[in-house]
Amino acid sequence: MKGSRRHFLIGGGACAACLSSMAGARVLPTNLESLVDTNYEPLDADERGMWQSCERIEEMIRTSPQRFDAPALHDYTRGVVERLVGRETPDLRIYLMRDSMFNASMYPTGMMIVNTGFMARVRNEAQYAAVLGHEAGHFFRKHSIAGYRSIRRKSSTMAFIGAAANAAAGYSGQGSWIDAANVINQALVLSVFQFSRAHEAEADAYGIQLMSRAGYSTTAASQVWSQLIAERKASAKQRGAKYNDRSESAFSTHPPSEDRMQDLADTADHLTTVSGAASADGRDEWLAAIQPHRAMLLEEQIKLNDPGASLYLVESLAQDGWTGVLRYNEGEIYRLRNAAGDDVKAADAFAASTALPDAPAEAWRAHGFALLKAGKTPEGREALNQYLTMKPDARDAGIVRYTLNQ
Amino acid sequence: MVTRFLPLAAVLFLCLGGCAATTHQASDGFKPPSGKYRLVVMKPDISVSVLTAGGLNEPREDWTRTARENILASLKQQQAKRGGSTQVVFASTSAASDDPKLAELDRLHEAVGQSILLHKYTPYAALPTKQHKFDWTLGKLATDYGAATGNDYALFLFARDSFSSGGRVALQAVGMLGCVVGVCVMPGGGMQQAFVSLVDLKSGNVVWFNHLVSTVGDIRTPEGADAMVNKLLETMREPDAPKKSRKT
Amino acid sequence: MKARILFALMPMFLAGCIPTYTLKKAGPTTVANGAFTVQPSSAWNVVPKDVSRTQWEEVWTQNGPLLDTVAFLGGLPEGKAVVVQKKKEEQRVPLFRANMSPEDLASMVEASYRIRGVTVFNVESVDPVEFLGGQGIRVRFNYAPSNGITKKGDCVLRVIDKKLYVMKLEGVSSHYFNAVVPEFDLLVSTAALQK
Repeated sequence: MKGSRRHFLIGGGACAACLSSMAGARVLPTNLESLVDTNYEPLDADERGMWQSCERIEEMIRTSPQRFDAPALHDYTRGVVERLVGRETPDLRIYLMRDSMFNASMYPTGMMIVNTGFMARVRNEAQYAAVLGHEAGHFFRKHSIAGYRSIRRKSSTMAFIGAAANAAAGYSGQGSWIDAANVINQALVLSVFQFSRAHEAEADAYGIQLMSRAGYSTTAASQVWSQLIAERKASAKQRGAKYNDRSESAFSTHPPSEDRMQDLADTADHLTTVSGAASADGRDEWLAAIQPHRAMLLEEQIKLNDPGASLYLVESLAQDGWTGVLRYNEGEIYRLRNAAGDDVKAADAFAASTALPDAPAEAWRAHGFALLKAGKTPEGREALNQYLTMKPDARDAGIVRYTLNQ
Repeated sequence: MVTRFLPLAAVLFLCLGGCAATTHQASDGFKPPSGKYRLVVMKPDISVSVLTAGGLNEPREDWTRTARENILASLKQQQAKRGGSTQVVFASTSAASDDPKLAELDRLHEAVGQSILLHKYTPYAALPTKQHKFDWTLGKLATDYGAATGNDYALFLFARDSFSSGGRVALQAVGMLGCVVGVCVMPGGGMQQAFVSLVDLKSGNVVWFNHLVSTVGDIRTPEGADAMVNKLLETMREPDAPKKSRKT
Repeated sequence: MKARILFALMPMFLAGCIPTYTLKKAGPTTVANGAFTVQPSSAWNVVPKDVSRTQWEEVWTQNGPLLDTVAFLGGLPEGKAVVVQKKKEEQRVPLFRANMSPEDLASMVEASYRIRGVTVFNVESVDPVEFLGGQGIRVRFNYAPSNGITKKGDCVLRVIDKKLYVMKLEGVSSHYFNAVVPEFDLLVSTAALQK
């Protein structure tokens, strides 16, 4: 199931997190000019065929129940892309999608997909721009078609892999989906092979060049990956598992490698030395844009019950001070992990949350149930009553009232 | 006659040498459309690709466009003979033309179509309660759509054709693993695959369903499109009439 | 040659190497390894066991698992999960504990979807329900899987003697979920612990 989902959203064959680079793949951002302008039309038969396949995918994306309906954030995202590209972008269609995986992807037709799982981890506008610029790099450098053509040159062993993948995908009941993205999916299946890593490095370089021109702090690009690596390490440690940046992970097809992060950091240094221009990380702009959605973005991550990663995320955000929302989510992490001693940790966090002015109603519910579990019945009942007062038409009001009547 | 009871995978194996096979399903008491009726073809999903030497199934925009025009022309002509007038609703290409209800109907049909393919055409996945029944439906979404548009029937059509330089037999066998674990997704190789389902918009029910696998024919030509449409729809008759599978 | 391949393949189906759907007739029957009994009023198809489900679970369907399923989970002990998962998996469904609050039980149901890649998941209601001769909880929800076909779910849970008992209906929002609701309600109301 996870596998086929990846096929679906990352099907563009050009995505931020799906490829790890290799040592020595660094590309310097010189002479990387755009191969696509606003009036671009596909030229060759294979490219036209690819566009046609993408149209069906785009219709499904457009009408998907996973579309994240946030017009202001959508406009903000387009603004960042246009600042990067230095022109208006009628040729790009941006879709914000509710998908907890860290990812963004770009289709050759100009469809750009930005996941909420990526937004949840971004800390400033420059980081947001780093990934969007990378995606734009795939688009403007026409990587989909180039990648596809290089796959076409490969042996029939590859087709064997593709056929087997399709067989597996068919089982999950997404047959015609898979068919719609047939070529593209095969491109994805094969993308772990070496030839496309050059594209990844080129997109990184292209993106960082756009960032530099737009006056964004170019170190943001390597920060995105270093945060992600730190998060995955925290997750692995928590689970007693080994961190491996080559292994497939549930939150992205392939986590970024430390090599790639180093390449980006080196390039950023290089650009800073060359230009010497002032740059901004756009932190305030980002916080203002994301604030209305913060609670939802956190919920999407915390409910995945990956405690190491979730604690990393919450604690990073808490560097600016603990809020009621953050304390509530901290409690939720322990409540879901549910290991020995976690009930106490969760209870403490819920108590701390309810003492803060922005505590969400759910914090009172969680606080109430935690108190009841600890045998503090009157206090627990009081907290649950507070929850119902704050949210009388809560979806779970039925069971809460029932609990109060016991 | 015999092939009706053979698993789809087996039909495909038999077909590797060059033949066409269809197996259809019809609901109890099914009466094919007749008299004056309005039929709508829902977002026909037709694609023609070339199988490259490297083993990729590469969609060809020009072939696909031609094949789509041919098939829809054949379909209109064929339905006109029965008394039907045929409209086509094409897939939406921009947000302005998106119709959420239609998109939902399309997705529902996709899930139902997958279920029919799985449970009626894959032997190990047969549902005992549906052994002698064909009663899948699109429910109220379909009847609402019929009421709103005045259409009597909706036809969902999925067709794939591919042309190769030959020598794809080994690969096809791998693709058939798909038929064993679930829904067949053929890697192609001069292979046609198509299915149609007819939905009665008065009841919402899928009243008729057919599946075609063929290693001959070419839907890029009007004759090839006629042949596919005829093979797909010629068995559309009352279920008490002898069910027929074809090998040519 | 072709015929030979065919005949090599046929016995596989015939010998039942591949598990098949089996018939469950109307009338009283035990479910989930005999953990409890229910009384369906119509015939059902029992979905073949597979490695993705725990030994405590049994699944039925009317129109195929892509469209509707009813799952029975009987007597899951403490420390186990409602789904099969590896110990070091990145995202896990919380393990069952007998002292779980209604909030915890609802979260457990939700987590079982989220870890499988569902991001859009909405709880519609959580209410008390009569189940297996006592009070349990009922979680109604909807969600959007990545193929875009939205589904609805109705899950009834109760903890008895430190063990978890669950019945869950799930189906495509358009038509199929609603079509099975009356029969599901009947199954819930006739469910009785096996002596």
